[in-house]
Amino acid sequence: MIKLEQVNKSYRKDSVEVRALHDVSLKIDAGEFVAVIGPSGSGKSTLMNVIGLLDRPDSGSYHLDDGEVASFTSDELAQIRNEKIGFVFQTFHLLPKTTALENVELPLIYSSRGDISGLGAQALERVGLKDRAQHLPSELSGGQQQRVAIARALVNDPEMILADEPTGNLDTRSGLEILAIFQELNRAGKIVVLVTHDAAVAEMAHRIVEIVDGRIVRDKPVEESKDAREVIANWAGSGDISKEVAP
Amino acid sequence: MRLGRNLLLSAKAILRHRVRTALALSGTAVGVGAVLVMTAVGEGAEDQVISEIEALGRNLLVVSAGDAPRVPWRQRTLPKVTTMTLGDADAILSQATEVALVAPAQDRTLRAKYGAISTMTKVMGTTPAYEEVRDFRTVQGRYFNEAENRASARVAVLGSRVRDLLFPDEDPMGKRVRLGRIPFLVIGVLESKGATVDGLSGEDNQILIPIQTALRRAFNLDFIKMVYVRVRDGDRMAAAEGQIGDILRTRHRTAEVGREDDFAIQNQRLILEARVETLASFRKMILGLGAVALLLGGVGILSIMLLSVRERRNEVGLRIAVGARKKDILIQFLVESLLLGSVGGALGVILGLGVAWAVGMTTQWQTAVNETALLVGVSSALFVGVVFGVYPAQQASALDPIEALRAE
Repeated sequence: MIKLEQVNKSYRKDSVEVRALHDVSLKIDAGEFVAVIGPSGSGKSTLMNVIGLLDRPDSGSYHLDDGEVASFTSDELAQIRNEKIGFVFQTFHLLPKTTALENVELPLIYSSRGDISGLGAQALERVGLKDRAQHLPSELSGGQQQRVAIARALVNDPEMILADEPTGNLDTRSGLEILAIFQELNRAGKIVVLVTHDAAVAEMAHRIVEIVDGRIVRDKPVEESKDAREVIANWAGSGDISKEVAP
Repeated sequence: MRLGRNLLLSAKAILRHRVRTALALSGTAVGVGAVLVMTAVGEGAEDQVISEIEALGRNLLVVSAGDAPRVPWRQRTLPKVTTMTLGDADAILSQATEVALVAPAQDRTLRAKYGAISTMTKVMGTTPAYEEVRDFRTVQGRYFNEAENRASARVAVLGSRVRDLLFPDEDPMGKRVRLGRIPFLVIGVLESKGATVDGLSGEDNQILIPIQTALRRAFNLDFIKMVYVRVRDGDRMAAAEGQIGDILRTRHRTAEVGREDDFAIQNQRLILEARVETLASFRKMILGLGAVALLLGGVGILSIMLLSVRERRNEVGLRIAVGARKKDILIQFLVESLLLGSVGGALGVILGLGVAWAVGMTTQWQTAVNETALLVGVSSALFVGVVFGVYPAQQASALDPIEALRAE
């Protein structure tokens, strides 16, 4: 469970104070699939970094599973990131010249868990890349690389997946497959928070939070969220995806 | 965190840029190699020179005939016939108040033969005082005495190496060896002085006979080659040299006709000490070279690590995002620079062993690469790795993950 109250965060960029988050209050319960949308520079990435414990709020409170984040040391935050949070980035951030499996196993290096054998392979299997375990990122397509990154986010069985523009560098078809994986993970009980500027992508979520200039201007459930698998199937039938997913 | 896995990752990161890594490591390798060579040359040769000084005997001056101070651009003439006589030796003993003992000497290289075995060896005629002047004792039997000397007795004291050569399985005492064509009775065997700095077993490969026997019977000469002098007081060596010089100049009348000295007085200890100093300055030079090379190696590691941190900001950001603590990042990069240092150290050890071996082969210095040298070499490489790795590692661990992930 994520609960932000009156969170403010400012940056100094080229000696100009930028208020990235302005009195943001947001509550995300277990099992939710939330899309955070907004124009670039609106503060949605900052929100993501705060939720993901990569950044601390200037003021306000952030409760994560009944723990006040401000009271944690940076080592404790690292441990929470390791155990409870899985990140997926727009640019994948896979280590080059390192096999898919090794990339997936990276978070386990910092894990305090005892038995970690087989976890990496399991995570790869979950994203359908079991047979690519020994491939290098350079030998994989963009969509496959992002699936490796998702496997990496899953390897420690986190409570939430935080995805920042996960489909931004992918073609529509690969993007849909990634979104399908997110939907499956959400159905399996994980919180998914997905940052995007693409309204069609946001339609896949159950709830859309819109941010403009660091403020939440809209927060509403999606009436009838789309199923990515269905869209792929329809697309395969009609041969034209633009009617289905274009904004 | 799993250290083994971390080491593997570091090794991979290093291997990713082989040429760059090799360049950065060459400095460390040269530094470690130099440290190794320095200690090897030092340990081996210094001990040797010191033991040789001790082997010379206390307060020793050597008066050599005809060996006037050499002038570099003038061709040296080697006089077969010298002007020094036994009378000169007696005069030095009786007139020079600073002198305690003298042992005149003349030598030739002769064939020494016993049974079927023969060897070329230095046969040196001297007086019984030689034992005391050179502090050169017998391990078996005795020196000849003054009576035997006066009577030109054919008695011989063998050097330890000569004994080993001529009498491999026999007791030499009481046997007769032929020196040239003359048979001599073996009455003693000398202690071993060990190898000299020039690597030869000079003092062990000789036979001592009475000087009267040598001059009259064996060599048929009436002049001597040198006089070994024991000075009474080690602090008054220079005074003794002055007295001896005056006596010889007077006796040889060289001063009257304005000729140069026809003798030379050497304080062997000074010569050897000069050699120790040469060695010391050689060591200092190598040590300096090693220090500079290690410093360069350190800067090499520093720059390669800074570059590495810069290139891998993405990776650092990602690691932090997936749960790495500052400490983990710090350790990772420290392990990496330590690994660089130890690889450099290993290369240095190989280099050092090679050079030490080459020095041992081409110079007179004995080289001994011992555990201390290896330890000093390798630990200095690790030290460099850590010291010059701290700053880049801190830079890495202080990265802001958001900035780091955004970096191109």
